[in-house]
Amino acid sequence: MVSLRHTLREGNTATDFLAKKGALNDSSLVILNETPPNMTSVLLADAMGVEFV
Amino acid sequence: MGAQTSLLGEESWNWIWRLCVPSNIQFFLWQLCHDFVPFRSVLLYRNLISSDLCPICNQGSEDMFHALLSYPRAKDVWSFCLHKSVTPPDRDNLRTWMKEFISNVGPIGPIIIWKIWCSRNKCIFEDIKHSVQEIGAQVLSSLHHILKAFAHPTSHNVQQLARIVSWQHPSINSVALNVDDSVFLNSNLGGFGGLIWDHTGSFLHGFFGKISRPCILHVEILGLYHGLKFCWDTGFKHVVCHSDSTTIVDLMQKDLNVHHKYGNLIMAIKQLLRRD
Repeated sequence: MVSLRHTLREGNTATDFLAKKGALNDSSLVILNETPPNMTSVLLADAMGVEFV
Repeated sequence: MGAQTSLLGEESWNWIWRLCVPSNIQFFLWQLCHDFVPFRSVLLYRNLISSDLCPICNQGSEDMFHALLSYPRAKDVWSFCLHKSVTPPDRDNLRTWMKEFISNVGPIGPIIIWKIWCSRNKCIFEDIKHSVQEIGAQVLSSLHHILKAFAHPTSHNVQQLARIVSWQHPSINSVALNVDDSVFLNSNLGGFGGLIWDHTGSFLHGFFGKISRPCILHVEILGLYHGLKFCWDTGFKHVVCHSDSTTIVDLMQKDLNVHHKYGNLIMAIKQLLRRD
């Protein structure tokens, strides 16, 4: 069962972060099985809705 | 600076106080406009230090222009966040530029300035160096919260406020796939990225990729395709996929026009969507 839904850009910081990483990298596809170290804080902020300083 | 303040009077700072950003950021802008922010050049001017060399890049004097706009990392943060490069003004017109630029670009401008300043301090005083992407992500995250905080629930954008989605966790036994795209039109760079979450909101997998000579629609379609294909190949059979592109969602729901530029990819996605 696969469904496709529309969502808003806000609250999608982590995905946006990866998309930008995609644009700035040289590979056509990279799969991550672990959280990249510099992304942990972004993920956390998104998941918890916490503002970080 | 002094002349500008006294000529225009206190009234002229209203553009800062009217900005929809937290007071600490407003105050920081106000300090910037008064040359009160302790950049090295300011400290040197006040005879507190003997050299105004930029402590981060060691190239040139660290004044407001250098620290917030012209040194490479600051420049990259601006273009990362705004999806375009910012043409810095002349040093002499910095304050006028700031007022005009910020009025045009909205709350993201002051937030970028604030985060660049914060990261400069972290780097100098705590030796913590953030990458451009990290600073950019902090800007976007702050922007998200600030927009939410300053939205007026009583006015016409009630509907918009209610539509802001943060994490929608999928149900047990299914995963959520978020896809997004990013295109820097000026530099001809484009990429897609995606995340796969479980029902507790934990990170399972991520992916990203680059596309040369990007077209926004192509990047969006490719991101969705790689995301769905990866889910299927990995064995996730129950997938709730989120895309922020209405174009994509519409395309997938409508019948396929066989002459569509990306017809093959769309067909492949439709097949993935139909699988059980």
